[in-house]
Amino acid sequence: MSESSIKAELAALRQAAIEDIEALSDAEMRQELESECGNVDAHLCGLKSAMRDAAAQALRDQLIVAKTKVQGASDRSVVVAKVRPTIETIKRLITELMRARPSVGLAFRDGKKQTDEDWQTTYDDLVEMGLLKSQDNDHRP
Amino acid sequence: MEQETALGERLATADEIRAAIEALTSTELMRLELIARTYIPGSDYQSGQEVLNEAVKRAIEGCGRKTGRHWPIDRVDFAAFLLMTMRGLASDSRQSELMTKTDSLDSDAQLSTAQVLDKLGFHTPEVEQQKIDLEDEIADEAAAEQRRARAKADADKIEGFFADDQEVAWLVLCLKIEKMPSKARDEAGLSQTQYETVRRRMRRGLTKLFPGRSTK
Repeated sequence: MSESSIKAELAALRQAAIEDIEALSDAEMRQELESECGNVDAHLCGLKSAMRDAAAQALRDQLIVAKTKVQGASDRSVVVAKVRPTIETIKRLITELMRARPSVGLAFRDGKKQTDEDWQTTYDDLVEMGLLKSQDNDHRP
Repeated sequence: MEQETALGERLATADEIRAAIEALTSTELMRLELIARTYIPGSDYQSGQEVLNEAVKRAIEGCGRKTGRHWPIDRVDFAAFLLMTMRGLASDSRQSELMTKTDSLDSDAQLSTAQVLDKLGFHTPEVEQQKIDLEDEIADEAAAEQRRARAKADADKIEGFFADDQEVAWLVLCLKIEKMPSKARDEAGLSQTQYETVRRRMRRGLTKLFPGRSTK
């Protein structure tokens, strides 16, 4: 039997199963999930959290690809912030950028506490990608 | 950067997708997960969670790009979009974004590698290395054979599982022949109520057979 005909069979079973699921009431779905997972609300929180993480990871991957393209597309040296502003200035600049572009915040923070080194590395990356302008005052090496 | 479909419909940004995830209701999440599990048989996915995560990943990947899945945010609600995206994953498995892209190439045997790459959207300076990678992937018949074997094994498993439940076995057979549930119901000679009862038993059996719960 060919792969396509097996897939068609599985698709038909799936379609019937989906029709059944679509006919379930809220209470029926909750009852089914409760018998499997116990605390349905906690389970759904976990589901949403995992989807959130998947979105964050996909965004990080996109930014890495974009960064690679930027580095590869230019024949000139990529401008790297050899001299950085103070850590306080770095935090302010990045926080302002994240407010203006939440997707950047999602990719780089993901709710975790950042060390000073994390902030500095993030600053360097954002300058390289052209999302922040290199600050050449209020700096120390 | 705002994206639009060919009909001028606005496509969602990554931020809008992220917000939509947060806005999903309990009802929507329950239904999404139960439906996501139906995509486990014949695939690489181990849980409904993985299917949902892949759908989210494809949606984010589509933002600002021609490839990936695009959400016409003003016309389709997010849960419905995820369902459509999952349906699109049905013929792929987790690592087969390439498979999705190459689905249309079967009839393009005369295209040069460069033309294939162009069609697939490879425009990076490392195109030479990517040509090699692409050729390796397309030539990887072992992986394709594994997928066929897995689909067959799952189909056989389903048949074996319902061997002792004549009504469900009969419905499964009718679904395999007719491919459409409404025709299968007629073929099986069941009333609507009988059909719904047997169908429910079939679905619950499939859930037992492919539990699809994350091991995390």
